[in-house]
Amino acid sequence: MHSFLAEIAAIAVFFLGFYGLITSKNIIKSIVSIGLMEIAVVVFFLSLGFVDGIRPPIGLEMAGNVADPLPQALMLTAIIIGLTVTAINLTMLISLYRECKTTDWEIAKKLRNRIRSK
Amino acid sequence: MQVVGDIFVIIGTVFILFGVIGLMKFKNFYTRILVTAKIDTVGVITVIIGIAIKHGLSFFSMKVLLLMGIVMIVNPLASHMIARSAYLSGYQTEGQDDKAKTTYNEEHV
Amino acid sequence: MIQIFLFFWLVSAFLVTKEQKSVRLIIYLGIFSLISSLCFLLFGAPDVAMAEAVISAFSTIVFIVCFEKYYTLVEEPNHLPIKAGFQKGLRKALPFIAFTVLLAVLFICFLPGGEHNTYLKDQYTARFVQDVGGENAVTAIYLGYRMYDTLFEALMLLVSIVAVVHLSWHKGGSVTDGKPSDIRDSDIAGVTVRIICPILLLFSVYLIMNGHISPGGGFQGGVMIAAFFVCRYMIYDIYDVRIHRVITLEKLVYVGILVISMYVFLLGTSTYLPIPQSVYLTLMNWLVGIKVASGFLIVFYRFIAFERR
Repeated sequence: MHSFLAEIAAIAVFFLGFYGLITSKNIIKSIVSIGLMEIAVVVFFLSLGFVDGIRPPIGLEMAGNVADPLPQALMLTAIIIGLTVTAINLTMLISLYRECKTTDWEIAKKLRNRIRSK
Repeated sequence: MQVVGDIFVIIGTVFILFGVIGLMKFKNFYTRILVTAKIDTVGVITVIIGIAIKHGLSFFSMKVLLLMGIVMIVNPLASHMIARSAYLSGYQTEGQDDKAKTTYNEEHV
Repeated sequence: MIQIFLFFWLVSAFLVTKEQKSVRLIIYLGIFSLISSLCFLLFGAPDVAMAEAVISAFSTIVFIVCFEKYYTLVEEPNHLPIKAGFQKGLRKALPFIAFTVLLAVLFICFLPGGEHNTYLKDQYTARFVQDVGGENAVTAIYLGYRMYDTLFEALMLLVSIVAVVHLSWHKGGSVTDGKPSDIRDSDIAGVTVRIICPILLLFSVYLIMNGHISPGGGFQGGVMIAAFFVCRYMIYDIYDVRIHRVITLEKLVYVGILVISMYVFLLGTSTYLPIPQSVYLTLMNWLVGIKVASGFLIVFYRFIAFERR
């Protein structure tokens, strides 16, 4: 019997990450929240068709409960992309820090407006 | 064999329990490092030896013992680096209070 | 079993969302990644679990290097105080909670009995041994049936690395020549990592070579090779890897992936490949591994050498 526990938990963590992304003052926390959402999406896709005592899709005979290999192959690439997304975010953060000397969204916004109005 | 392995696993779990109790009990940063280092050296190694004894002489237990060797090398290094970097960045604890005021070296910044 | 892990997973995600200080955030993110890796193992996906474990370790390294370059980021002296009280925060959170519950209810309604459409899974697991070869269905899919996905993933990786290199460009010329770093050396760390390093390289080569018959493959092994170079940086305390050569290597390897996969799939049919199957799988795993390794090596050295003051 398939239980929807993992799906529901993945949706909850996705929106937890989204909440952290839009309500935090700390830019590093926003970056971490994006990573949280990525992992939640991965868990959601992998938990599709989960039953207890499932076997990994490795080996020559594929009888019985075998996990679905297609989402695994897609999520493998998605995880690798996730690290590069984090790296680009941190690079942009350091560039911002060089200009504004802050990691706060509000102060960065104020400084941006001041730069624009000049 | 099974009973001996079980005894080893239980001893390792007791060591881990002591580590957690010490983490809760002590308030000083450096003593906490000292206590938690016991978890990932003594506790984990004893549990791994117990698992290897339970499975007898097989490919699996050889892999587990190899893992134990790597754990023995790496985990003390982690504790050492944490304590060392705390010392180098000028973290000083006053008395028993872990939330004492920290002073950072200016030159390290 | 899975319920316990999901409970701890939710708790660690909640800790990440609640925390405000940057260093603790990174520690909680590491715990979260570890528990999700264990969850992947329980879902029957050892490849993804291995990739997640390696990637979370590497992203922790990247975060720490970022903090080490900008020490004041960690202290956060100038954050504005949070104005919103509990009531206001709850009012902000309410739409998201409602949306979450709505989505969960929709999933329960539209998947009656948990029937999962298994047509593609049955097709793939029944036919991959004679179509693509190997014993790992995941490798067979990302190097055989869904090769275009892997191609575009590699292209995205290349574009991301180019973006990192471009955004972190600085005024003072090239950063590739060997200069000593400002991490103070510890003899214990140097000697210990010197022992660990060969084991790490051997394990990554093992993962790539056996990627088509066991869990592992180019992605995981590639990240571990990049971790080997991080360890090498820790030992010798010097960065003498010439980044522009690594960038050239990455582009050449991408062209190699394109050429070999196009050659195989244009000349072969669904049951015949122009080169032996295991040779094709091992070669592609090696190319993907070198590509991923060089990409993450560029990211790491960019962060190390970024805007030295």
